[in-house]
Amino acid sequence: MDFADVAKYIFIGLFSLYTLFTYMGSTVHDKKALKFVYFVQNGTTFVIHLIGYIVLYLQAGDMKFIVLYIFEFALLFATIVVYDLVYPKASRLLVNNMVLLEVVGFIFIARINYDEAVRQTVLAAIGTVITFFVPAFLRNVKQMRNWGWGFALIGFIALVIVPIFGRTVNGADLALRFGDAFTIQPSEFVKILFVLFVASVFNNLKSFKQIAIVSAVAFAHVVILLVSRDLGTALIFFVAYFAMIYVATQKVYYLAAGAGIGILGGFLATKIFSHVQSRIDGWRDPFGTYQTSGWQVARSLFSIAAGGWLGVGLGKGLPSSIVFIENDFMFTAITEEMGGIVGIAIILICLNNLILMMGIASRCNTLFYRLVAVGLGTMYGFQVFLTVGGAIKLIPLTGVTLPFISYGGSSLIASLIVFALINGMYTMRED
Amino acid sequence: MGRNDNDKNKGRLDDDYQFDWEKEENKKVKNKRATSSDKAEKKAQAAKAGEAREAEKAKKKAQAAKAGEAYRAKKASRANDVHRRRKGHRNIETNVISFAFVGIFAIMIIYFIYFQTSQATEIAESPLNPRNASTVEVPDPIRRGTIYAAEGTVLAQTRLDDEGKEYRSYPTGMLFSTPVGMARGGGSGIEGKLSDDLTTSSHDTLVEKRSAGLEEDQKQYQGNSVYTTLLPDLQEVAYEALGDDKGAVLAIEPATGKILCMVSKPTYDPNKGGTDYDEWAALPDEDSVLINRATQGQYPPGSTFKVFTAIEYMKENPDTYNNFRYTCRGTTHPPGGATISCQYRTAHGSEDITKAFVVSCNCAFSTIGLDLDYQKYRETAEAFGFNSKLPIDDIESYESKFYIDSKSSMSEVQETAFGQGNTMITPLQNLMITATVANGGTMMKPYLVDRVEAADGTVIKKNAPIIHKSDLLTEKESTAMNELMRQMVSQSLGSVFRSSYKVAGKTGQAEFENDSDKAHLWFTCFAPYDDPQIAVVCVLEKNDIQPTKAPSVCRSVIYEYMNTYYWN
Repeated sequence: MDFADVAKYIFIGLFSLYTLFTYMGSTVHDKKALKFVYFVQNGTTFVIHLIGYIVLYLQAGDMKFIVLYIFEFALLFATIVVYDLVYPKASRLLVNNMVLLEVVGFIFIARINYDEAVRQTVLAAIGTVITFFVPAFLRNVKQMRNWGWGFALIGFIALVIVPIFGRTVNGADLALRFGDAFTIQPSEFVKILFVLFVASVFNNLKSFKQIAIVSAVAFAHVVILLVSRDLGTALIFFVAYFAMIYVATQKVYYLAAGAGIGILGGFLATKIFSHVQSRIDGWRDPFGTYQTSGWQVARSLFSIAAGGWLGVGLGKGLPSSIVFIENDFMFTAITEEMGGIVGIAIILICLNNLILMMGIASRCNTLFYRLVAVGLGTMYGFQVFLTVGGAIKLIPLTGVTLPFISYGGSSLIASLIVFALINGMYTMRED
Repeated sequence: MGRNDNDKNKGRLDDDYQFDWEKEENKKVKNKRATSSDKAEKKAQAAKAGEAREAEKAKKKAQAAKAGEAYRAKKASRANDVHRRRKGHRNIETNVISFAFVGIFAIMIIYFIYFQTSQATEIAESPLNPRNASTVEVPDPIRRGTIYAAEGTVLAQTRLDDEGKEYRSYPTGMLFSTPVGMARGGGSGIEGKLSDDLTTSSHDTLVEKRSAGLEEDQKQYQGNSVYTTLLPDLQEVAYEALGDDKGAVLAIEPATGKILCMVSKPTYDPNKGGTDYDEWAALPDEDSVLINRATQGQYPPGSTFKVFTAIEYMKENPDTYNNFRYTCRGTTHPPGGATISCQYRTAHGSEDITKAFVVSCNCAFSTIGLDLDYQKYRETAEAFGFNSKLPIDDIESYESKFYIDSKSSMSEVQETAFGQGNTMITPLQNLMITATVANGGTMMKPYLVDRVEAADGTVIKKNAPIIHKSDLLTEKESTAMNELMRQMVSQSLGSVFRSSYKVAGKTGQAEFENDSDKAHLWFTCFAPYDDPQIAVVCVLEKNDIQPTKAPSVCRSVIYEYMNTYYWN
């Protein structure tokens, strides 16, 4: 019995407490009570962070973990303070959730690979500084809603560059590489541009012809992503597009059409793209296809099963049994070492983010902002569904990241921008 | 759409208005927002007609008219913001989306609970689970596990001496010292990289207890075994073929990345590590027995690099590379560049790409180099593995170095393109390029360890072939490269290889330190070219220039492999 064995019970308690207060936060309106909710949220978050790093430090006996911890703590503390002072009208619940998810990411990336954790922290710092300006930018640049086709053009070029110049990452053309140390996954940022584009055009919707044109552009995005073998992102674009068209037109039959096209398209994709078919084979029988397409899913299930409800303890699992765990299987890593209860808490916190975003969308006072919030929120929610659902074999594996938690600068910075945009729109609500 | 949209929104706002009007009427709140339509006005009037006095009526009318005006003004201003709602009205669509997500997240959580409660236990017991035995409490101490060749030959084993003391025995001695390494210190080779597995016991098999250093009642368990991919007879042939030369021979299965044999000379007898290690460690690099030249030796690639330059040329000129024409006069000096000469200043005359490759024309390839996009040249080199650690986990390796970028000078590019310049390449890197050509453009992750087994034979870890990078070459490019390398062997090395073995490859003679009499001799190849089974690379350090010496070493390995494993 060492500290990690004790810590796992503390983690379960803290995550449960956090989740409870997060949901309570949406129901209380009294200012004093809200302050208490925020206090408990931030308190549990920082205790989780501290205990996580104490466990890592004790296991490795290396001071470098303490150094990294201090830097991360400063960054997260500054995030909360800056939002509190500069954007008091931002949704603190959303900010607090973001910080908690970053903490989970930091702990697990440091546990899996220290060097990657350093990179992640540096990129988080850069991303956080950039995104402090996003709400102010939104407030001052109102004509953004008219830049739709510009967004589409930039996004489209970025997407097309990858299959042509990109290097293949793990069987998928995902990254653009600059020199040795620096790779960018444009699709993470094109997500945001795509939402801005669709929202902008739908904001001034004048004819059905426009819907047809935007749909064609959206379809082109999805096809390019499929050809680049980025199945998960293609699905995310698809779902977000239909959510936005539904909100813009307020017609339910667009949702029905989306579902129909989705099923048909999915069927065709399995026929046309072998990489889609192999994902489905691996999902249907991961153990039977262990030698080929199923082993990642099988190993994810082994890890989740090993964790059970209480987890094996931080640092005591076998994350090395899964390749790319820090990118695509963070949910697995968390449930193995912290257990199923914490896993469910993470799912609930992500769901809470989605609900908060939709609440913000409904309070946006212009259609453009509402569509942006709906689009980004839907992308966020669906991405969580894809990565968690894939790890637990509810749906085929699509290889997308868990926002704020997975390793990868592009994903992290894009997620920070998304949350900052939504908070920016929230600060412009009328009270 | 526009007309419909406007009509619909007009209707919607009217509904809102009606709702507010009724509500406010009921609450008898002073009306500021609503009451404007004639219908509403009439309704209000009718309801109060009986009791109301005239003056009040007039007052109310005036009020209503005022309110109506205000409403119309507001309505006009809202025409631009049709979706704006009053406070307290939740947006239906965002609620629908929220509920949809609550639904799918609920399904996810329910499925997760179902998995944890009724499937997890059974799945965890799967023999494929790498945890299967390692979750068992492992008692200390553990007897270090055994390392085997692919066919069960013991390569390293812990035994007890006459006094009951443990010692590490290497029955194959110098033959396998390069890949197996030594358990000494932090360990080297497989002994080092898989030390954790060898010192983990995943099954409670007791071993004959050693007498020294253990308590009377303490048990000792057998550590896990490591099975390598190395073929003992192939290793022996490669070891013999290399003879007394310094250098390395390395063979790989292109389709899987399995390393079939790995020899580096000079080497050492690991059984003598206890006494001689300090002496070995003191040797200078060029005589070192501890450096694994197959994965750590960095050499100029010589003409074998023309394989890579030809690949880049094809990539940049996918439709026109076959139109390449060059007239070689034995030496060339483009304005601003360096003077490049072919070997012995032979003038090769008129060449297409195949002839330039087959005769290994330095002038032609330096010219091709100047024609390339330097930056892309570097990007392709890095895609193939240069300037970063190669994806091999089971043994130590060093990076290969490629220096050209957009700022490079003409002379640097000229020299690099035909294999000199500053480029440094390890035999493993060179072999991986060749194997990628053989494997249709897909680079496999090379591996030396097939599996880790517990003492009772349960497989704890199994290495499946892993694609490191797919589509490094298009089908057209790999077919064309295959053809070039095949022509090179059939036209220039007919005296070395019998045609029935269908070998494709490229020779190289890398100059070093301006010593014109000696060179590092290279040959990198695969066979059979129409169904590649094995890729082999050989480098012989500082030899007299003999174009067939390195190919002959590779021949021994290929023939042995084909005779034993392919044709039988």
